Amino acid sequence: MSYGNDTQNTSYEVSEATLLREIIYIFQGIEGKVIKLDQSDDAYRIDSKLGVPRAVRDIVNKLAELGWLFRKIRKYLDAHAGDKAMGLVGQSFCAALQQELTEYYRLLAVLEGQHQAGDAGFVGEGQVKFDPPPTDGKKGGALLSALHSNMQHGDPFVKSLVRHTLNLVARPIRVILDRWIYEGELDDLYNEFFVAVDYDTKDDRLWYEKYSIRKPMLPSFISMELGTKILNIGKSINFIRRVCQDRSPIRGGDEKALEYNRSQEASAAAQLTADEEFGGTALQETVDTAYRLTSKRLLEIFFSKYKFLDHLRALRLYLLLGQGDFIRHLMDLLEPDLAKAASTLYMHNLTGVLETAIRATNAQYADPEIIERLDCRLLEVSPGDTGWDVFSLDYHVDGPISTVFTPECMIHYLRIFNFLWRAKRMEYCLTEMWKQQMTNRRMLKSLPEVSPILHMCHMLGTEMLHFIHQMQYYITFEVLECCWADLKKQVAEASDLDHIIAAHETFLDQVLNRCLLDAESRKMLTQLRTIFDLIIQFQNAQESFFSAATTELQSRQRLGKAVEQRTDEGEWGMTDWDEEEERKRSVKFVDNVIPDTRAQLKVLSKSYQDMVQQFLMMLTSHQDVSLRFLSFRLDFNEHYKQREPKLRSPLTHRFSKRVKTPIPPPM
Amino acid sequence: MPREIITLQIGQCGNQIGMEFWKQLCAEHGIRPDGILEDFATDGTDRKDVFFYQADDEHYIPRAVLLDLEPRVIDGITSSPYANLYNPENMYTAKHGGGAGNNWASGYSQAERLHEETFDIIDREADGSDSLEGFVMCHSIAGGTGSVFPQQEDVSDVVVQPYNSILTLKRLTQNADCVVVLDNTALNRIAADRLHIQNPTFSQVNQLVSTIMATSTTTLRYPGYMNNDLIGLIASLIPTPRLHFLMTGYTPLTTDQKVANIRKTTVLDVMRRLLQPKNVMVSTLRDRKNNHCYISILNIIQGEVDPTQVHKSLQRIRERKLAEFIPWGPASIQVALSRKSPYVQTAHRVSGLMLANHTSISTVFEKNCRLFDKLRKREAFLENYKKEDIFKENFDELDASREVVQQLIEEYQAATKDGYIMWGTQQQGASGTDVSKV
Repeated sequence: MSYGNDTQNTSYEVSEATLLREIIYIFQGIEGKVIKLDQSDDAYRIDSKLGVPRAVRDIVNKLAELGWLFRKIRKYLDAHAGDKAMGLVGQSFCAALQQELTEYYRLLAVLEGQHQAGDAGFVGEGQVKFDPPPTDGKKGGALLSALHSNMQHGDPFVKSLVRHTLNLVARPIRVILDRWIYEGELDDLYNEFFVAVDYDTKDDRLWYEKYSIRKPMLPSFISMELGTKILNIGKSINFIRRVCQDRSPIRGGDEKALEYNRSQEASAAAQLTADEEFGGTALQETVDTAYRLTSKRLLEIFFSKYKFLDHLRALRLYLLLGQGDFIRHLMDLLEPDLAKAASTLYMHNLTGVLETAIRATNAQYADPEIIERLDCRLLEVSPGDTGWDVFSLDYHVDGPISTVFTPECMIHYLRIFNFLWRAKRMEYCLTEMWKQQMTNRRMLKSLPEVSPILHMCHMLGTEMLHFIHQMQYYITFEVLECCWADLKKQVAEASDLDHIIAAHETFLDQVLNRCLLDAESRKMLTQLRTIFDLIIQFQNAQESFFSAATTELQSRQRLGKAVEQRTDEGEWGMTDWDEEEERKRSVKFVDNVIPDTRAQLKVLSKSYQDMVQQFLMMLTSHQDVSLRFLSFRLDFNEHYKQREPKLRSPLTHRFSKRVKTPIPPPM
Repeated sequence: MPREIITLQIGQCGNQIGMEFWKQLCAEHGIRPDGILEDFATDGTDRKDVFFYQADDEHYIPRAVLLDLEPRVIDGITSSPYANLYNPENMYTAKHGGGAGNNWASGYSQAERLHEETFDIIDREADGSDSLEGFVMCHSIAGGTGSVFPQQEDVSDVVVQPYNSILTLKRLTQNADCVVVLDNTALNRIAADRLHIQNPTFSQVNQLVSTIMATSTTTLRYPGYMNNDLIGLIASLIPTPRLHFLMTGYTPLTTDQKVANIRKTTVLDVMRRLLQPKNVMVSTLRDRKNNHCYISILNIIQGEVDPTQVHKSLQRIRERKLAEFIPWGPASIQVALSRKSPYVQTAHRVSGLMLANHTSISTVFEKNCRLFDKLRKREAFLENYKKEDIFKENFDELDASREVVQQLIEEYQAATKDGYIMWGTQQQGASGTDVSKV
């Protein structure tokens, strides 16, 4: 009886008993007479020539798949049984498979027994079913991920099977993980763990470079976030041990409590992989606890033993000029040296001056450990530089704190110092000039010709002083105080070292931006420097005028005295020669010095005002709100706005909104 | 320690204010009345050396010189608990002890005789400092003793006060770098209105003054990023040499901590109140002819201040146009934040001092000139002045002083207008007479 025109023989030639026996063999991967491995199909098939009904043939084919799977697994196991390269996870995977196979054998034995007992009933339940292990070449965490991907299987049986296997397979990772988060040891011979270590990294970069996450090895049931936390726990332990040189127990308390804790946690840990969905709450909790305790310990050591906050404060006091009396005195002492060419400065002189400044001011009461780190530094000299351009304070950092105060951060500090130091110098120059104005006014009262010039000096000086003072107030509030308040808050709230590092970096970035030291503000910084240069020019102009006026005054006084003396002696008060000399000198002073100075001051004053107005224009269009605050401060009474139509409010308002479009500087 | 400040206390008023000032400073720095540092104050980061120096036995001694022509007040100091605080060599009372009898001329003549001795004391004190920043002088301008080159002053009511004031004002105009003007009318008004004390005692009023003095020097004593020296502090307030008469305001005011009503004070509250005339310690008069305005303002804010609030407060003040400024140059409210002494408890979270250069100070001088002119026209009460050398021949010195004060008034009035930028070019020089002896 034929069922159509296909090639298969569907007659009832082979007995069911034969087929059953054969199929049991096939289950074990053994070919029989009837059912053979069809190489082309890569499946066990009943010989197409033998007469087997189509329905039976289909059933047998389906069942034979088990044999095919068995063969695959067997082959895999045989190939990898002794393969060390598989790693621990691979081996435990093999072991798990082996275990399943044993179960399978047991099932087969039962089947066979039933068969021999003549029970013809076909075992319908396929107890064993594996998807082909998609594990080729994978190991460690990646293997776990591959296995875990099968967790999504809809068949609850398959799901529970995968879970069971995963539990067994994940054990070695679990052991490594425990060692890592409790002791900071990385027992990972086969590079299966998701934390990688670079043994070449020096301790000073330990925090940043030594440990990393090996992404492919991160099991899919552990999120990146959790993985990073785990990384950080071990990293923190290593940091405490190696960089901070602290061997005390991380968790505090005595060893016994620690032991107890550990056993508790270990049992919890065993459960966690048995967790319903893996990466559930149990692992999260263990990791969180370990993370909290370790980070807390690290910060404790950082704050108490290594005085992190003291160093931070020291940087603010010295490199950011917070210790005003010390900075003022240092500048007083250094002033004569710094005016000279940069190449003539000698470090030993400078350090001597630094020492003197420390001794004379409140810096002397600071912790000696802090003061020891304070030093001078000369920046790279370019031709034409004066001492002002190259001098810098420096603060030496080493050990654990250099993890936060990295060399890059310290360079930022030096740049900020340079900016603040320049601004401070301007403040002092102008204060000094004010002092001269006050004293000279009294002295030069008997030279009425100079009083218009003096008034011009006062006016320009006041305007500059206002600018610099507002600049300094801006630096105080918008830059230093506000950023510092932020940083302090962040540090107080920080739960781990990374927070502190990030907060500190943000602090530096903000300060840099607001001090116009970032790349976008270069133009404004140049503008500001030009304004500073004009102040120095004004200082020189005023100084030379004062000295000319003083000379004039002295010679007039000398002449006056000589006249008196001669009159007393009964001679003529003035000889012709005296008169001629006096006239010549006075003419020179009145006709040359005074008009020249007046012209010079006028030019200075005009270009200064132009520069300030340009600077204000730049500020009003700046992205950083705080820099717009500066323009508000600099022109609080709208003095410049009234004089410069472009600064009027509707326009600036529009500019401030369209921050992206840079306005061309008014030329 | 660089940038020391020497305080000269002259006459009754000067010494009384001075005494309160040192009391306040001692309290703020944790120094006991005998000059020994309290145990709790040893690790302070404050600068005590600006106003004190340490003797060999670690006692803190004020850099103060106490001068008077009569012994009463200085005797009072030497019998107070603070007797051992001062350097006894720096306390000088004229031998005859008769005082100057509220007569400027008498004080002037006596000073000429005592000038060598007193300058020895001042020189010695100056030599004791590494780099002297300046002198602060406390005195009244109405009396007889305080006169030469002062920085802090007070006005009281004496018949010949107009003469004395004008004579002193001339010196203050010509020789001082900065004068903080306080007057009794305003101080009494503040005591009555703000502190609800109807008949304030000298000591209560002087406490107000010492609060002003102590607060205005707080940035020098607690170093920070800015305002670490006296000159830096006042330079930005004084644009031209003669416009150096500052007025002050303080809020919240309390002399007795217990009566302070506690409320949450913000930076804006403090800055706004400082701009209100009722908190200002000088009574200026209304002047319809001139549009008086601020030349400069410095607010020193102490206490728990959120730095981010400062900008907002400034913005508010500008929006509401609470302060009018000069038309001839850039000007603004400067705000300095300062630490507060940890040893002095105050009822207020935030307090503030305003130092302001306002053109309306000229009305104070004008009033003085008017009173002066009335007396001078009648040549009233001049007999006692005529007894002294300086007025033996004539009263030129009186009239010359009046002229200097008049010029000062005119300059302040000019500063209210845009044309002040050209002021010096039209007006040539000041008066020729000059008796400065610094």
